Amino acid sequence: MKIQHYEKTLKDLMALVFKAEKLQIDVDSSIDNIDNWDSITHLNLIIALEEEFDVSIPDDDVGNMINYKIILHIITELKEK
Amino acid sequence: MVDSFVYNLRNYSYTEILEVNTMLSNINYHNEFNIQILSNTTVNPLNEILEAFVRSFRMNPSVEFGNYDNIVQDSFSLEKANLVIIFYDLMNIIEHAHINLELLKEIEVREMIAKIKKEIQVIFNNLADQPLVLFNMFYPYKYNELHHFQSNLSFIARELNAFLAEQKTTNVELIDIEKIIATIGSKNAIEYKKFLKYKMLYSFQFFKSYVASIDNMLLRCMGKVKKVIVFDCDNTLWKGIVGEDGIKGIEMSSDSAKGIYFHLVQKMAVEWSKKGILICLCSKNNWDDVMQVIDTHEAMILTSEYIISMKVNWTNKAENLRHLASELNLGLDSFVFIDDSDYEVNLVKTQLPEVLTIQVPKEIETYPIMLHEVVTRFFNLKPISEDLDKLNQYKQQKVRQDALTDFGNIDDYLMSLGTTIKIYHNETEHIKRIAQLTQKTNQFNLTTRRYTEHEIEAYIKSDNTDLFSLEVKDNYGNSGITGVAIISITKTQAMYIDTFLLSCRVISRNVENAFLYFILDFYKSKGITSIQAEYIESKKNILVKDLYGNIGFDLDSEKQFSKRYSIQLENYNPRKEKTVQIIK
Repeated sequence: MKIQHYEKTLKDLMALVFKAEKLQIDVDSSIDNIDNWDSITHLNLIIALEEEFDVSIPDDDVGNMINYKIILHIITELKEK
Repeated sequence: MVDSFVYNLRNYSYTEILEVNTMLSNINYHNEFNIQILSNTTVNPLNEILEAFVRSFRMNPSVEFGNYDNIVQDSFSLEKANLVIIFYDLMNIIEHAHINLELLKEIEVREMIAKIKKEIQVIFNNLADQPLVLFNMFYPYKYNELHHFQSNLSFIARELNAFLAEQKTTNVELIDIEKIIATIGSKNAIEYKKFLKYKMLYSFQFFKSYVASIDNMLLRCMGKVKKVIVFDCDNTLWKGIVGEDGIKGIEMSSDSAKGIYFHLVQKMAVEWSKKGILICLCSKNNWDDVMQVIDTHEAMILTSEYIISMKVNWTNKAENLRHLASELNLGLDSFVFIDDSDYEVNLVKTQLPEVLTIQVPKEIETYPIMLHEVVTRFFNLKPISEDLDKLNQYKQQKVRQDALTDFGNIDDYLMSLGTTIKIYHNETEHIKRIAQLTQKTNQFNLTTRRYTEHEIEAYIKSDNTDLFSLEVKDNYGNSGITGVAIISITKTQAMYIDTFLLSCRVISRNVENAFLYFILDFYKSKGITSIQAEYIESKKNILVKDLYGNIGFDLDSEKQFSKRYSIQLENYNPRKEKTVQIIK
C-alpha cells in the first residue's frame, strides 16, 4: 500500500518538476523521453524528492536516477530502511 | 491568495511552490517582468520561486540565468532587465576556496582582493543603466564551523564588503546574506555536498528565505508596493470597544499591560505616516465616539493630522474600502486592511481579494512585530529628509571613471586576466578527462557527440584522427583540461572537426578563438588545404551557433538542425587572439 502511495507522489512530483502533464508520466518515463529533464531540472527533482519523501539521497544514487523505475526503487529502499 | 502566497512564502514547500507556479502559469498577464541572474555558483532553484512570486502579482515572469561563472563577462552584454541579481560567492573564486585560500601568501591574498575589486567596479559600471541590481555581500562560509581565528577567507570578505559599501551606486542594493543564513542556520542554508558535486552552494530553504528577504525590492521594481494602511479601531488601535466600554474603558497607553501593544502600533503608524504611508480608519462605530477618542484621549498618539481619511459608519467594510480607493485614486491592490474581527477579515478577503487583509493576532504581544514585518516587506518607506542624495550621485560618477580608466572594454578586462593555454596532441594521459568532457559538456559543444574512454583511446591510436586537449590557466589559477577538439580525415582528404567543446568554466574568454586558430595553423603547416566543420543544434548549445561563421568559415549547407562549414587554408592567414597566450 505504501509503495502505491510513493508511485502517486513520484508521478506528481515528476510532472511538476518537468512541467509535464500528469498523464505523461508513467513507468517508462526517463531522461530520454522527457523534454525538460536536464542537469538543472534533475537537481530540482532531487530537491523535491528529498523534501517530499523526507530522505537524503546519497550522491551515488543522484547520478543513477535517470528513469521512473530506478527512482521509485531508490526511494522505496531509502524509506523502508 | 495573491498576497498571502508572498506573505507566507517561507512556509511553502518546494512542491507547493511548484504547484502555485504551475497553476498560475496558465494565465497570461499584460505586463512582463524580466529578471537576470548572474552567478558563479548554481542558483537555478531560484527560478521557480521567482516565477511564482512574479505571477502572484499578475505579471508574466521571465527569469534568465547568465553563463555559469561568467559574471563579469556577461555584465558587458547584459540586456536591460527589470532586475539583476548577482551571486558572487567567495567559495567558488578558486577551486576549493575554503582550503586553497588559506594557503595563499599575504601578497597573493592582496592580489586576489585587488582583482575582485576591479571586477566589482566593472560590474557596477556595466550595470549602471539597469534599474535595480541586487548584489550579495560576501560571506566567509567555512564548513559550518564557528571560527574565530583570522582566516584569509574572512579577511577577504571583510575587505570586499567594505569596498562594496563604498562603491555601490544608487541602483545597487547590497544584500546581507549572512543575516539570511543566520535566520535559518548555516546547517540548513548551505549544502556543502551539493556544492562539491553540482556547484550548488545553497539549499532550497535558503533560496526561499532569500526571495522572502528581497520581496520589498521586488515589489518596488514591479510597481506593486502597498501605499495605504486601513485600520479598524476597536481592538485594533486600542484595547476595548469604545461604544461599550466608554472612552475611559479603552486602553492604549505605554504603562498599561494590555494597552502597550496598541501604543506601539500607534507609534509605528505615526512614523509610517511621516515616511509617506497613507493611514486611514475604517470602523463600525458612531462617528462622535471615535472622534472623541482621537481628539481627546490622552494616550492617543495617532491623531487626525496623521490620518488621511476616516470611514466611521455602519456600512459594509468592503464598500468603505472601495470608497477609500476611489477617494485616494489608488487601486485596491495598494491597500492593507487590519481588523480584529473574524467576520470583517473574511468579508474583505472574499469580496476584495486584491487587498492584503491582516487579522490582529490573538497572541496580542506579536501584533506590533507582525505589523512591522508587513510594512517593511510590502511598503516603500521614504526617508524623512527628502534631500537629494548628492553623495550617491557623486559616488556613481566616480566608480564609472575609475572603471573606465582600468578597463575601457571587455578586451582590456580579458587581458588583465593573463589567460594562457597549452594544447596537447594525442595525449594518452588525458583519455579519461576527455571522455568525461564529451559526456558532460552541453553548452559550448558544437556537435554534442558523446564518447567513451574506449572510443577516445581508439581515436588517439588511429592515424586518421587527431585529438587535441586544452589546458587553461590565468593569473588566478589553473582550470585544468577544459577543452577538446577531435579532428578526423574525410574520404576526400579534407579534415573534419568532429568535436569542438569547452567546459563552461572557461567560456567567454576568447579561448575558443586561440584554440581554433592553433588548429588551423597546425593543418596549414602540414599542407592540408581544407577544413570542414559542423554545428549540430541541440537544446543547450545555442551559445555557439555562430562560432564557425565568426571565425571566418564559409557556410556550405544548412539543414534544420545542422550547418556545414568549411575553410580553405591556402587563403587563410594565421591569426592571433590577443587576449590569450599560447604556451608551447
